[in-house]
Amino acid sequence: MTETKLKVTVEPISGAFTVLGAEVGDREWIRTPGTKGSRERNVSPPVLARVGGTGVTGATYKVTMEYVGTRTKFETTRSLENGRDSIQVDCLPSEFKAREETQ
Amino acid sequence: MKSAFSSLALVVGLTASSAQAEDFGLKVSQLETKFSPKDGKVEATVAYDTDGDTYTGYRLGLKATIPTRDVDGSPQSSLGEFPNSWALGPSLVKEYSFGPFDDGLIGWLELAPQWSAKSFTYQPIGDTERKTIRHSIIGYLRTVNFWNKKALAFPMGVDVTARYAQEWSDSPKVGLVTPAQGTQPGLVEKEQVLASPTTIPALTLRLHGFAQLGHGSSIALGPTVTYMLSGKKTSDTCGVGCNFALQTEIVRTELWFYYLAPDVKPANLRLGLTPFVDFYLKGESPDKRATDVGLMLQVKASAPMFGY
Repeated sequence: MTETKLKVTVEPISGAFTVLGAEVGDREWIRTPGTKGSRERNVSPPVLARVGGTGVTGATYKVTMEYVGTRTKFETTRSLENGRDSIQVDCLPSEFKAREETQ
Repeated sequence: MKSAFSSLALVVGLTASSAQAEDFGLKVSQLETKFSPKDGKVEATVAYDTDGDTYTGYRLGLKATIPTRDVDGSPQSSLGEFPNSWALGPSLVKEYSFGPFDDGLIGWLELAPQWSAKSFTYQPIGDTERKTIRHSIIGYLRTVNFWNKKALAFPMGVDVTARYAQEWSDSPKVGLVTPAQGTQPGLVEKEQVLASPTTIPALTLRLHGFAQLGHGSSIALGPTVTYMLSGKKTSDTCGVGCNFALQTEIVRTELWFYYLAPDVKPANLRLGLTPFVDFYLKGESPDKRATDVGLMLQVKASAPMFGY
């Protein structure tokens, strides 16, 4: 298994948040009180990431994932429904594939 | 006719960070200003986060507080929140979290001792002007916790703050009166500080709740109770707490109404409004009343929704 450096960023765009966070594999990477959070670590793809947040309905946030030093990137803008939202992303060796899931 | 609300205060908060500083783990974690009709302060904290953004590590920082005007040190109007002079000190924060990020708890415990020095001038009658420097100490212990569990009908938080301040301030000015001449009464010629500085030790305990009215609601409530004791030392020759005499004892109640703007950029704009009532259990308000009422407005931008 080849290790690759994965960078995940969660950033509020509009609205009010209580928490923004990201979990990769079994590990928690990011948990912020609604402010921007970013972290990079070595992983061995494939791994599953879950990114999301809670706050006020309609608040929007941006999720960015990338293998550092490569062109493999993923970016999406999400909004909270009923005060919460999360997205699962399969981090495969050469691509990111979102599993649509709204809570 | 005197207004029903004798006090009106505006609280403005802003959290800022720079991308470049973040690369080194440094954050301007809080830049906050507070104003009331009599007092005001700007408070900034720069911190290094030992564990990125996971809320499991420590934040080691420097906190600076600057008053926005020269205050007289009276604690009555501000419940001890506003310093007499600039203050500087370390900020030590332990972060903690439990459960998944969207179904758990996030919180932190902060210890922030501060020190300040201020020069005072006074002139006893018949003597030359004297200058002296006094050193003040202030200490905060604060814990903030927020639960956003799905099972809770109301996402809620609570923060508890204890603040002790041993600050020096000018002694009261005294009117110097010219002697009466014939039928002319004596007149106040000027006001002058005659005595050396005094210290007003103050202890403030604040319990602040935060409850969002349902998941996703843009309305939240923040019931708050603050208890403050302030006093005076009856002697300058002994240390902290020595010959302490209770001067003021106040209980303040607040009920904050928060509006969490749902689609405003930049994110995390919070507007707050609360009436407050001060009950003077000992001492009295500057208006010589046993109870005092007022309003506080709060504008917080780019700050944690539930942050103190």
